[in-house]
Amino acid sequence: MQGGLKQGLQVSRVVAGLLLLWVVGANIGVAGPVTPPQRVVVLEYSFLDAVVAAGVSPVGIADDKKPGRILPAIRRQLGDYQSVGLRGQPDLETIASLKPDLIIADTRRHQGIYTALQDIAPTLLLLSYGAEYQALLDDARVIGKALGRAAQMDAQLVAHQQRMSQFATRLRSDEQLLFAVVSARGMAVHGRPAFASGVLHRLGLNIALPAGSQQPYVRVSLEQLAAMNPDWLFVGDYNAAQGGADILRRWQQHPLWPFLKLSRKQQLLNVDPNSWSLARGIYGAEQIAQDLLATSLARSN
Amino acid sequence: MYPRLTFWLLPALLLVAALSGLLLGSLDWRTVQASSADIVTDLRLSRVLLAILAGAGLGLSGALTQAVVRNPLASPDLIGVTAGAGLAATTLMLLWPDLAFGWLIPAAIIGALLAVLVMLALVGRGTLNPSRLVLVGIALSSWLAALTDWLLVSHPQKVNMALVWLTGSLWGRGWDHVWILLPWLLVLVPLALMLSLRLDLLALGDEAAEGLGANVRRSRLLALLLAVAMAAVSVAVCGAISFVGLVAPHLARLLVGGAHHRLLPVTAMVGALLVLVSDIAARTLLAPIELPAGVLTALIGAPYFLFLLTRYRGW
Repeated sequence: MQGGLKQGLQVSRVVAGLLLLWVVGANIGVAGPVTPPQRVVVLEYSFLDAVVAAGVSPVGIADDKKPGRILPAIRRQLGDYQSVGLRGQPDLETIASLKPDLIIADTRRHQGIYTALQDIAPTLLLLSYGAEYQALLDDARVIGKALGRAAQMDAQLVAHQQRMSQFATRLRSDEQLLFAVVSARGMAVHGRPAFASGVLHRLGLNIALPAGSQQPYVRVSLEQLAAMNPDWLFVGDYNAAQGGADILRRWQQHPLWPFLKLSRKQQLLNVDPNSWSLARGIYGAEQIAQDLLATSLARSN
Repeated sequence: MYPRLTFWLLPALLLVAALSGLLLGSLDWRTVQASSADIVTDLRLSRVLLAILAGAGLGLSGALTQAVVRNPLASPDLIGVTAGAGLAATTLMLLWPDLAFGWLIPAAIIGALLAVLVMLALVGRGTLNPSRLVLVGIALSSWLAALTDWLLVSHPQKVNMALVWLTGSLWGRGWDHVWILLPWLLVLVPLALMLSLRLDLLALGDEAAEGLGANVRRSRLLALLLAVAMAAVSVAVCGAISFVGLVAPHLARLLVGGAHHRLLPVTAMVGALLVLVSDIAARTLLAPIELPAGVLTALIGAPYFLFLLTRYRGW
């Protein structure tokens, strides 16, 4: 299973690399000046993050028909765009009508419609759902190249690293942190490969890990949460607009709850799942750092 | 029964639905014309054709199943065929995601066949008692669905395609899939139509059929194989679009009666119409968000199944 996953990842990397060669190569092959893609459609928030960081405003975004999910920092830099529907099921008609010259899609999510997308425009497949922080930064560089803006992207990434290092110096703790999302379907904690975990690690913080799972997102019960017993729990509530998922409320009334470290230390915090889980990019990572600086994890000196 | 009217009206309705399938979509017609003609030919036409093919396959499969077990409650979804095909296809999609799409059809057929074999073994020899059949079918389907769920839960990163597929949807389906589905149905549908006379004999009861010179066992087996294959290929391409196999034959029987040389083609057309209309609604109701067509067919099919249960006196 683990080997298969790794192999799959490797294959997808190779596919992405070949695609990039093809995209860039096709551009170079054209006589005269190279024309970088102007009309880009992105099918995941992480691609949106990278494309905006490179200074391009996409014409189409799979925003789940919820523009509020796009981080304010990114929204400010967006021009007019059209929603192409759900990330899981983007609308091909709308994508085609936008006449894109580059589509960026998820290796796993959009594998089934890859040929259909390729018929519309050159399509770059990269991993977003379940991708690690470092891999997402590498992919941002790939996206920068595909957009013909490698230099700008590199500059952005260097600046990002500097900011993250600065954030890291201002955060210090030996305590174990855990990020989880809750919804009507229950609680899913973010394991080692998840984006938020990678960011926490980059900031020099410790992460509580679910036992026996290398998956990025792991559904847990209260018992499993108690076994992990983190000092901090950051919760991204997808049902916040509907008054909040009731799973936490039920757990908080459970006799086990007062024995949890996070309960005794009163270190349960609500955070925005859009930046902690969905954004999966430069802007999301920095927002996570900002959120942490607002807590007592920030050094007082 | 209105056989003559039906044979005029149904193809006309199907044509109208197909045309509206080309005209309607997530974009309005003016935008489509302004952008390019490709949207109609590349995206809409292929989906219309797929809906017709898959609907016909599912409908015919239902009619054959009902003829074989002489039971109005039978349909590929209820005897575990859909769930078996679903489990096989999900396994393939999750464990070997890099495998070409073409493998999905043979895998789905094998899964469906195995499910039917288990089903027949569980029902036991002798007469196919309708209530027993339905109960065993429901239990088996749930069991297979539970295995499918387990696969989905244990592979959370890869479930997207599988989930879309399991609800029954023509999203993202295009010409590639038409060319995969078409040859199968070009072989299977004529074979099914050729069985009409034998199925009529089966309807008289086993002894009468034997007396009239029919090989009951062979006819039954052949019809069942065809039913399984047609449901499996349709399910492999469009996912578990539910209740079409149950509802289409019933509607057809209301329209043209039980003689199979009329019933089968009409069932195919009714099935095609059901899936086509559901798919058009799925594409347009909440655009650009797509609904699963399978949910819409279930919306019509499930109440109809309940209605059949209340009317059925053969327990």
